[in-house]
Amino acid sequence: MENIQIPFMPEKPILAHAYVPFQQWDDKLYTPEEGLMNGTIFPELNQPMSMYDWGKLYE
Amino acid sequence: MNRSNKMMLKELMALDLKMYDLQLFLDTHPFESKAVMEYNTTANKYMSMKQHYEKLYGPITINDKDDNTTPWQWIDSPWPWQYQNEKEETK
Repeated sequence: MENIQIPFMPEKPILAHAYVPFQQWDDKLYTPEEGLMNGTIFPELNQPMSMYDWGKLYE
Repeated sequence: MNRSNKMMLKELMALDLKMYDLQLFLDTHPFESKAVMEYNTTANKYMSMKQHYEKLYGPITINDKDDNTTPWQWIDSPWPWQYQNEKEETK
């Protein structure tokens, strides 16, 4: 298999297509116990509903 | 099921989730060597803890067990409805 490095965003985006950024490895992980409580061991993927509270996203 | 039994089972569940989450990450990032290393250390911890748990409290899953003894130990651990009863007792 060819060694493929995953970029943050597609390098050759096509017009009129929507994209989602790719997850990048980060050494900061939750402990297993924290992970169990949050449903993921990746802090950047822990996105509780409260982050959509009014004005929160623009802080 | 006593307190240390439950705590150990919870720790195992936490390690299991960590393994599964890393597995999902590696599905799309197969060349991320740090993730592979993290997976291996977690799996290692999980395996040794699971062995320890099973020695003390009996099998967690029956599918991967090949050293069963007579009498069949699987029925010794609580049935799903017995967990519920325990919960009500402590209320």
